[in-house]
Amino acid sequence: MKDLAKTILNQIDKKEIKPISRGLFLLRNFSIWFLAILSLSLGSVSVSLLAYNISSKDWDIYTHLHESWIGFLISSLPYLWILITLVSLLIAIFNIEHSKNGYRYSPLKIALLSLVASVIVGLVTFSFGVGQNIDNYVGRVFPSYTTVDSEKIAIWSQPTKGLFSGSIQAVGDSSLVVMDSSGKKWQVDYRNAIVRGGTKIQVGTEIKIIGNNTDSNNISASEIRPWGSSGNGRGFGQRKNIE
Amino acid sequence: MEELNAKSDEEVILLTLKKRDNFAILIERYQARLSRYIARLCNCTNEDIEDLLQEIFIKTYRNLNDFDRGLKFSSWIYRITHNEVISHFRKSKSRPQSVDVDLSLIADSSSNEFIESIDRNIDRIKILEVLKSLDIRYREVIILRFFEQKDYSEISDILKKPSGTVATLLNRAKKQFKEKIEKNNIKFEL
Repeated sequence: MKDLAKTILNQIDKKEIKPISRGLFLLRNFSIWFLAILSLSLGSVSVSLLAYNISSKDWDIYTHLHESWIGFLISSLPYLWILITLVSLLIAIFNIEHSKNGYRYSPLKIALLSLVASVIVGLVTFSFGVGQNIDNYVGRVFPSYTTVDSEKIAIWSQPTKGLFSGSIQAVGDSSLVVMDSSGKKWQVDYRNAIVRGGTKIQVGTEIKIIGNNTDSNNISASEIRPWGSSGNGRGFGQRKNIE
Repeated sequence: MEELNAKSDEEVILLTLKKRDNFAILIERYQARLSRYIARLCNCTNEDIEDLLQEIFIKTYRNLNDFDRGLKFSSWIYRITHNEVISHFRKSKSRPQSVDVDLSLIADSSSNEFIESIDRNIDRIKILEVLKSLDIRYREVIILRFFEQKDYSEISDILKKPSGTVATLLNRAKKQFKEKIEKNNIKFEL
């Protein structure tokens, strides 16, 4: 044991062992933080999309859409984005824990902080319309992806359930002409309708209608609400194929 | 050489990166302490301990550039030692062990309250046997806290666990230690 230093130095010489370069360690630490930040960013984007998804649902009219509220909730949750949010968070937590000083913080604290950071950034970006833009972008890139808009149009194009939607083409004293996503024009009697959410009854406004179709071209509206809170148009009638 | 001996561990690291031979100073500073630590931690033979020490110092040398200046060098080298011992422990767990440990290595320590109380109370070898029978995660915190006299922050850096977890582990370790001591009819208090 006395000559341990000598033995070790001899081994270092013999095996030509050299200290690993500082650059490699810096690269490793940088990679860990890069992955953590990337995952947190992806998590934030997912939260933004989740918020957009959830805020676009018409939670108050679930009776028109499903037999029970639970059934509506189960069928409405954006599982893909929930999964992506969770996976991103797990990757971020794993990387932060494995960073140089990550062990100093409890995994629970890291998980909570990551979650809070993702939610805050996600909600802020959602308020700037990031969730909606990404949802539309993903829909363009992956045709099999159901965007919030297309899902909403499908829900609000069910005359048998009394759900209609479209763009106002003409406004009369007691009726409106509304063109739906397929380009069909409806005569809407809105004398007895409750107009919600400050919907502007004017040409070009995109609206959702709850009512009954009295015949193949006429609707008696009981409620009219704006298409979306953001005010961005869907372009009813301009799309040949919404689905 | 005397001038070099007066330098801090961190300064010696910088000098080692310039001239390999300076690493001998760190080896000499830590070999006795780490030998005792390893012996307390595992059922290793003296040969195992020497082999482990060689691996530990070579690993330390190889990773000198990864040393975090925010840590004490002693915490860092204890961490490397801890990891190597655990790795050795895992590898050898399935193998039958013939233990040939120099107990003086384990018991010989700079005096502290813990050791003194052992001396005062009862056969220290019996106590050490009880210590060896503890779960490894409890044994390691007891050894670091009471034998190596590390504070919570250093133990946290060595084991790479949050300080709160270290405190919890230490409490549980003391409890398990006490239970075993009582079971063996040994009068002793931590």
